[in-house]
Amino acid sequence: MNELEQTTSEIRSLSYLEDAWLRFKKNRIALFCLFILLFFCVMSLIGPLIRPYNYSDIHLELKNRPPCWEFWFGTDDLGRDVFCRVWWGARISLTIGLAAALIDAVIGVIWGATAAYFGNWVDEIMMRICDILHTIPLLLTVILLTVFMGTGLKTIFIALAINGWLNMGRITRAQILQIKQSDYVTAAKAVGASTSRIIFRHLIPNAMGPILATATLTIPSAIFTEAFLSFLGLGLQAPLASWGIMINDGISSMEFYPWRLFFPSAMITLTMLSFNLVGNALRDALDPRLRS
Amino acid sequence: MYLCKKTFILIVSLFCVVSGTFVIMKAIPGDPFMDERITEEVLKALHSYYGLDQPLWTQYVRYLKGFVTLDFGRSLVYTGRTVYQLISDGFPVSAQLGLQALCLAIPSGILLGTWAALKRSRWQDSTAMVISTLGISVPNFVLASLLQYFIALQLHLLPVARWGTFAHTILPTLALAALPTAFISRLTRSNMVEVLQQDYIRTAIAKGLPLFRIAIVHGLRNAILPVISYIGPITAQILTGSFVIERIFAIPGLGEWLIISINNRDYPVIMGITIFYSSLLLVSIFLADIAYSILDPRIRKVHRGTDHE
Repeated sequence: MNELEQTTSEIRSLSYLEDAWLRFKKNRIALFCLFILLFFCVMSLIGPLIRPYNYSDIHLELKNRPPCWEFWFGTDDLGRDVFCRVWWGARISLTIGLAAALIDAVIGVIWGATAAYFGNWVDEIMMRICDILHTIPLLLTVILLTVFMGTGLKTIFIALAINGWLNMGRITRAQILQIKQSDYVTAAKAVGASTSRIIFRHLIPNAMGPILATATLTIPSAIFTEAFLSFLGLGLQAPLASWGIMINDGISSMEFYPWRLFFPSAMITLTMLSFNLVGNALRDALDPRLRS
Repeated sequence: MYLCKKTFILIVSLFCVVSGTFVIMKAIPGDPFMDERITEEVLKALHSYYGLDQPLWTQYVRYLKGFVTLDFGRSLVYTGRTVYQLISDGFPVSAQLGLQALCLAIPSGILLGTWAALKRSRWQDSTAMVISTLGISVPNFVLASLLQYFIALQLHLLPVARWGTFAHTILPTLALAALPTAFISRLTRSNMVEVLQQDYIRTAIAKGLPLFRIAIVHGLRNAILPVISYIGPITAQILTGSFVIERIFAIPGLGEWLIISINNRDYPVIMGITIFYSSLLLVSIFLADIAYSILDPRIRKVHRGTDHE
């Protein structure tokens, strides 16, 4: 980054995103994963509608059917269509993942930016709070909250919001501190740029990359946390079709009805894998140091 | 100074966990003995037996005292058993499983990461990174159930579940070690790549030393440091992983006890195990920080809660 780039900041910020997209596109695997995720998003909306069954309708006479033309992914021990349930699970997981990423991003960015902006003792106190929260494992928070508030979506959201944003807070703070001390911001201040201009033209576009990548990588861990809790019976409850619940049901009967385990397992693995790969690719693509 | 700060954070965190657990447990609406069949007198007797008739403040002080003397009270469901007994029954099993997983994960993670860094941008690198991405992306309960299905149920190579001989421990250990292995290998790779670009490594290469020797003697020593500072998160991964692994393989460990006691609403046991696990984690983070600062004196000056990843 030098003064020349600073004078043409408007063009640069546009070409930065374009450049990032070009580099992201070069990563074929990540691009493929992005398509998988888009497909999952679409299917989570229309998937349960294209089959004539409901995720919670019980048909005991049709129980444990293997995958066939009538039931594409088979049925479970209560005769529920696994295809419908899997896409309902996708709906739950994607909602939780995206919402958690959004919540974490908002809290983390505000926290990190405040700490970095005020500096001194404000920064010191805010970062010590982070340190302390960081040592308290997410899962124990969740378990205590579950005991306190009962199981359900609300508990999972609150637990994810309590210490999911810590990483984001640290990254935002580090980014902003680094940018604040950089030469081009000093130069912009010297030529009399207003604070808002510095924030919107310099701080935000430059800090955007790591924040976006971190937010993307939050999604798979949020999805995992929900499935993990539901698996243990501490998350969502039946008849909701969470992947964790389906896998837990599937394990008990995997010797005879393995499809009940395989389909939800494959879905959650593919989703987490895709988000991880897309997140890593985004981090590389948005890193200004790697620009060609 | 550094040591003081870390000790202070350790104590404050421990206090927060212990007090937070107490507050949450007391804030739960209702009573563990809510049952229409219980008469007034029985309820009173139960309350005084468990010390629930005392004022909150006295209960809190007693509870803090109990924490220091490792006395977490008695189980509400398994009458006559203390939380301490439950922990001393379950923890050795969990500890064996966890340590086995650590012993597998640390060397294999470091090896995989070093290998990837040495063969950077070649097929070996991509293979290692595919393995580690899979390790991070496949949830441990999925991996455990697939291992159980294919290796134990289909191929009959190892026992399906339960605890006993060494053969019983192999599948749970593998399932538990996958995530930390992937995590460590990525960490090692990125550190190693950075270290290999340093001047002293270039000098060593220029002197004509074999690359393998350089990697071991010069590279690894520096690349391993950040792994030590990540012992805390790795311990957390193993602890939380053990909850599901113990359930899937029907292992009588502490994680399984915790889940059972949550479903039973057995509050003293939940509190006791939560505090026990949190303390274990906090102490391991503390020790890792201390070890790190001893091994790398630079850290005392520069460390400002930055993220190494």
